[in-house]
Amino acid sequence: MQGARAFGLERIEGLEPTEWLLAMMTAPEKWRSEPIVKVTHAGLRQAAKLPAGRDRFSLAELAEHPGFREATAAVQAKSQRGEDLDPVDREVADLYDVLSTLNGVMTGEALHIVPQDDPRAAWLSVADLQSQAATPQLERVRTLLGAMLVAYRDGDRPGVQTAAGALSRRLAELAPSAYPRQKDLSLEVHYNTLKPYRIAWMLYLLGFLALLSSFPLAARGLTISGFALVGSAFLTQSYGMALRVLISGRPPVTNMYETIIFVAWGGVAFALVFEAIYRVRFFGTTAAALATIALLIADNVPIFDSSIAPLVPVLRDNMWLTIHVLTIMLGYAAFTLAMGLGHLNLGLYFFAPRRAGLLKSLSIFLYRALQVGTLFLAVGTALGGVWASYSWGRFWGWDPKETWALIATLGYLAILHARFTGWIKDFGMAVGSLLGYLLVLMAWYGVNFVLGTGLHSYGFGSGGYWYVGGFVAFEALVIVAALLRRRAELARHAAPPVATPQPA
Amino acid sequence: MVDKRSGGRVVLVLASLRLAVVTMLTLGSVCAYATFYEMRNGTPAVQRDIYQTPWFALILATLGVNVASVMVSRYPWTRHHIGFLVAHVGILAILAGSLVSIYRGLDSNLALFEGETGERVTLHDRSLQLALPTGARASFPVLFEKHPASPGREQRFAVPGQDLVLVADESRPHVGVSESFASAESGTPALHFQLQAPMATQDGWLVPDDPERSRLDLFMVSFAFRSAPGETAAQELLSRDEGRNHVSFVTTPAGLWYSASDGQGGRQTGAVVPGQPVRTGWAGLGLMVDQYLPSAALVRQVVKETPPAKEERRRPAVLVHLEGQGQAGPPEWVLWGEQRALRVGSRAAAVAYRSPEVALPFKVTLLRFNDESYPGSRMASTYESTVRIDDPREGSFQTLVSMNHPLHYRGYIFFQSSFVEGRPMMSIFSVARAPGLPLVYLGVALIGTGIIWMFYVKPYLARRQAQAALVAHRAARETPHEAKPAADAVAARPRPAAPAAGGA
Repeated sequence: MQGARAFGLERIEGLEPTEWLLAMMTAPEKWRSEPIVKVTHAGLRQAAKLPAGRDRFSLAELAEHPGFREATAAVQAKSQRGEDLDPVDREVADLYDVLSTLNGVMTGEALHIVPQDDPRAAWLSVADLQSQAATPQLERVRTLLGAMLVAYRDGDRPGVQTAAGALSRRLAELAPSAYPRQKDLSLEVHYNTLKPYRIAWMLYLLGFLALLSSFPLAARGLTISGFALVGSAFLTQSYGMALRVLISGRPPVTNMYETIIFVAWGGVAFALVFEAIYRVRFFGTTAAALATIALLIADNVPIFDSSIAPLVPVLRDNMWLTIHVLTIMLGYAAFTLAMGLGHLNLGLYFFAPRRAGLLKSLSIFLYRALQVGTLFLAVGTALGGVWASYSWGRFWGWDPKETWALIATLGYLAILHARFTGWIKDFGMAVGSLLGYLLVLMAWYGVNFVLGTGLHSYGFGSGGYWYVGGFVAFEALVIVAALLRRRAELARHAAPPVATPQPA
Repeated sequence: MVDKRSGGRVVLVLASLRLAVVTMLTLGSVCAYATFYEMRNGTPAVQRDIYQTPWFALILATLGVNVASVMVSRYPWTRHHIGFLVAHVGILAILAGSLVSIYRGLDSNLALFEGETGERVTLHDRSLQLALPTGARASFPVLFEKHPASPGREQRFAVPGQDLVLVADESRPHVGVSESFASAESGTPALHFQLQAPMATQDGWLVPDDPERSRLDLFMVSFAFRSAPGETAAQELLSRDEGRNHVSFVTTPAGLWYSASDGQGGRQTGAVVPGQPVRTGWAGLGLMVDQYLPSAALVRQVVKETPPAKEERRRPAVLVHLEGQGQAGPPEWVLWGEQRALRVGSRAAAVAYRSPEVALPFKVTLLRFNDESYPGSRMASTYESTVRIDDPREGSFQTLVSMNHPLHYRGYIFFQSSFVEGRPMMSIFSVARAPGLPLVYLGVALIGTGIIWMFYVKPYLARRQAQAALVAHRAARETPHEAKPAADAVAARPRPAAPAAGGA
């Protein structure tokens, strides 16, 4: 396991989450010494003076490790003094949380599964059960829990199922008003087992490959199957998002993970609309590629938390939250699509600069995507001000998140105005779509993960700098290469023909 | 169109799209720099040094002038300009609305304990406030963080209507305060003790029976100092038990006595000899009274101290003195948030260094503050305050103010901003008046409408018109009359319009 955020949904040593939970509860001593905690963050390893050469440690090892204990104590002292924590400090704190939770699983302290009558009261944990055996009902729960663990230890799988079923019924009976309904629980289990986004990215990938090969192979069958695959992927993803909305009771845009999923979805949605209008396959191919990458990143980069957690109070107003955040995210989605089309444009300038007609069409399509993005981002930024004036009493406070949304809007508006006035042409617009996207990334990811200040301080995290930094460097390379190539191409056309025999 | 004489040329420059692009990019770059500045120096600093400076206002003003000019330059306006005008009027409306709110609005805080009534709100600025015994008051806005006072650069504030000047000699962003006692002709007894604990040595002053200084709680040990008229009263005070490590000092006409009890029955008593260790019988703790002054006065010293990194944690102070009747009074340090008495000649005044307050036309009472947690957890789900408004003009009523559900009353808006834990709880409201808000909201709506019109409605209308013209043209050609050239552009393309025509 790596990072508190990915907790609970991954397999450990081949065991599914429900299994390793039981395993750890049954044989805690064994699991304490299993090297299942992966620590790869370089700064963290250095601060905790972890031995080089391996990245997997056991809970026992880390808990006793003097270097890590010192680092943890230092971070705790810092936060008690009210000082800000730097990214390495946060990694230390996060690892400490992971270890605490892991320890809690083994002792049962972290497993709060026993409801109480008063819905506001904290649920009792498995450890609490051992110490408080007051009522006969709790006794029964304890017995059933014990039976389940014994059955697991003895390898009696049917026994585990029976005991688990009885246990869950008994728990629900304890406090029927406080316990979630069976329906809701099944929904969440279904969502976790189906893993709809994993299915989606695989379908997107296949769709992308089909559509991509439809260009050179010019086979209608490939086009149809490509769109069918992308369409199915889109529906699967939509289904997953709908499940998430039903489970959490709010629109799926409240943390970084959810926004990545949503932006991927929005990009594909826009692309499909454009395809319905223009029928050119460029939008669909680009969007399928981007969606594949986005979903892969969301589910596999550990800094993104895919769990469904309760919201902090300021986010709990549904209407303005929905409108503002969805609008902004749709803007990001359109600009992501535009970035992909921009790459397509620049690729053509690079590899086939003579195909003027195709270049012209692609420029128009890029412009369409930029229009959509500008509309949604400009309006979304302004709506953010409306939401802020409702929630905090001021329309605009130059908070970093709102400021960067404005900067991104200004950037794209500058590009569109410069294009309108002829200051830049189609090539400049393509380069602009990449540069503008760097601003979007700063507004979307950078403010939360790099700046770390401001009122929007409920989405903060750390890490991922290598990925994003790598992407920025890649974009810079692409832009520079395209500029150089373009300059060479223009110079070639501007220079008078040399040594060409002139007709007399 | 605009004529090309000198006035016209100015408008053309002001209205140029190039200026627009330059202004947008400049604003974007300054804002980007500002967000990093904020990360380094904190929010109050970035507001002071960037966002609220005349330079920043100049950039925004340039934007406004540019937008207004470009609208003027397109006069006389036709149907083609609808979207363009609407969007750009929207920008102007937002800028104008913000200006109105800045100059005629209110941004303040109101902190109330449960049960407390308030009728003044606190602004965010800083000021020196002076009050005379006659009841006359004066308030002088200051900004020492930006314009510090120092010897040679004092700041003088003349009190209107009085022969009195308040002079700020020196301002410091942060000071340390050390309080001690020194022998004085008339004063109270005071004793100074030192407590040696394994971790550190702590010390303190105690003044008998003083509501603020007769008790001290140093976590490991609590102290009390009282006076007694005679032996029996002294014995009674000395035999008190606090249930923990506690030292009682008692001064009688006969001398100074102590009693050290550990709360579990162990007790040591005796006379206090300054300079000699006080026997407590506690392992690992050493106690000594090193100073006992039968008659002492408080001496406060303001000392240099390294400022904490976060501006919010600093303790600013200003050294001030009064001048009047040809004389200059003695200077005194006034810390932020406190009030001190100053004299010059025969006159005295109370001078305070704090935020100015503004009166509300009604009273606000906090009846109850409620912070709910999500069921079974300690994570806050909502904050809400039940308040009662007592308005001499409109009567009284009771209402709920919570996150995202502010109270609108007589133009004032009360937002649940935050709270402070404790008994009783303290609820903090942000109280605002934003008279420009309707204008800003209108601007948001106009921008959205204008962009949609420019991007989508206008090209659609243009296409429809061109198609209609083409149809009419063909119909005309089939009649015996001569072919009439189409009035509109014949280049009616069912394909998307090129980017250059997509603007206004």
